[in-house]
Amino acid sequence: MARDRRLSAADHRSDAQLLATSRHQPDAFLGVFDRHFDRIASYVARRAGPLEAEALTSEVFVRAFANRSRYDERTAAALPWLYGIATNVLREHARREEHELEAVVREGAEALVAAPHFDIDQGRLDLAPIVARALLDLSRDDREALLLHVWGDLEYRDVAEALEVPLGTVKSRINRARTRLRDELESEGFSSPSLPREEVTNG
Amino acid sequence: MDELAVLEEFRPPVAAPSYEAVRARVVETIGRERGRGGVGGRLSRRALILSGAAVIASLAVALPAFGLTGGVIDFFAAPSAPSAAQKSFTSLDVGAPAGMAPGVSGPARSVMQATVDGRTVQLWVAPTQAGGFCVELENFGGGCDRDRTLPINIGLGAHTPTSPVALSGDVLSPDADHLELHYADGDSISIPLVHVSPPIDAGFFVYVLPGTTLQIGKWPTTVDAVKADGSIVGSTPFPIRCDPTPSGCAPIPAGKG
Repeated sequence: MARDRRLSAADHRSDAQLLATSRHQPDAFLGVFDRHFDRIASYVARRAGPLEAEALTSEVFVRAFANRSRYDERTAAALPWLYGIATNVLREHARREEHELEAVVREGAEALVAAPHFDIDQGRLDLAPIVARALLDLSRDDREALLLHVWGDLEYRDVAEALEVPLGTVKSRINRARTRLRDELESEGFSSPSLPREEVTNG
Repeated sequence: MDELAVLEEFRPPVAAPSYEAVRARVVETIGRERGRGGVGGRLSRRALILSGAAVIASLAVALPAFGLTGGVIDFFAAPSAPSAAQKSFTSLDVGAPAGMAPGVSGPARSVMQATVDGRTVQLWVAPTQAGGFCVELENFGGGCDRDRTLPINIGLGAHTPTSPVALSGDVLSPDADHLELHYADGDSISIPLVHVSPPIDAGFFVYVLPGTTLQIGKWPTTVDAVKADGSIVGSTPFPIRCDPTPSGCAPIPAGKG
């Protein structure tokens, strides 16, 4: 892919340093953009679908640029911060996402097949409404934590940073969400390996 | 069947949006801001804490017990200010009038030290959200140039009528090499600048006025920011004017009287 990543490839400064520099040399922000575009764009696309992804991903980085002076320079890596901004952007998109999940619950596999961005394994199509219902049943807080962890591929501590909540709260939310999803699968007759229940339950 | 694996398959990674299209929008946003002349606009003036009447009244004899560690300072490598100083900076927003909070955005760091009246004091600097900075000279106070609007800032501080008068401040021009403090009688002194890297991106100084300054009526009138080749990049009146009196002179804020 002919992407111009020369800036980030040649720049050994941390994200924090680039963001600090970008306050006076705005182009330095592009180094942060180049480094993290793929992951943020992929996450936004999975949450919002490809039709919305471009506009929402743009919104994430435009907001990040506008708020770069508020970045905590003690945190070298900006990826959790960008995921946090993405979460806020997607939160405004939440009703549309929920409508889509409701369609999957209502129409089953057909809704998935009809949506071009649902490229699910044919053998798992029957699971789609169950997963969609489980996601719908989650609180938005729990859903965001779970999806940042699974689709955003963030460690718990990075999820905590992105959502600006304590680590224990993240553990609690993800544990609760996994339990809900597993129970949903098991109630429909799909076996699931036991999820350790020793996770923190506060929050 | 692992529930996370099921969730992973529910909506597998899809084709990401166009890198070029999104980048173009970010570049456009950057260009708009560059056209506005920088972060945060140019809305506020520096609140110069040191120029209060109590400080002015206490100006008297100053002894030039002066020293500093110099060079270009990498802000991120500079030592953090102690927690009490950090609280001092973060408390600047508390109770500030609407739109006037400096918005300190990161920890304060020590960028310079000076000896004032035999005691070593630190010059602490912290960035603001709007791209400016706040500065405080230990035990003397400080102020903020939140939006980087003032090319040359000079603060004065003294604890008693007989204690040294500490000058401290900053210069925004990266080309400024030193300050020249000019007196009415034609004398001048040179004050070195210590430049600090972004996000601060300014030169700082600390200096103690020579003793008997007020008694002999020898008082600075203007301050020039000077490049290494001697050319002047900026100039400002000295913030305190010295009016002649039988015993020397009386300090009056510039622009008053």
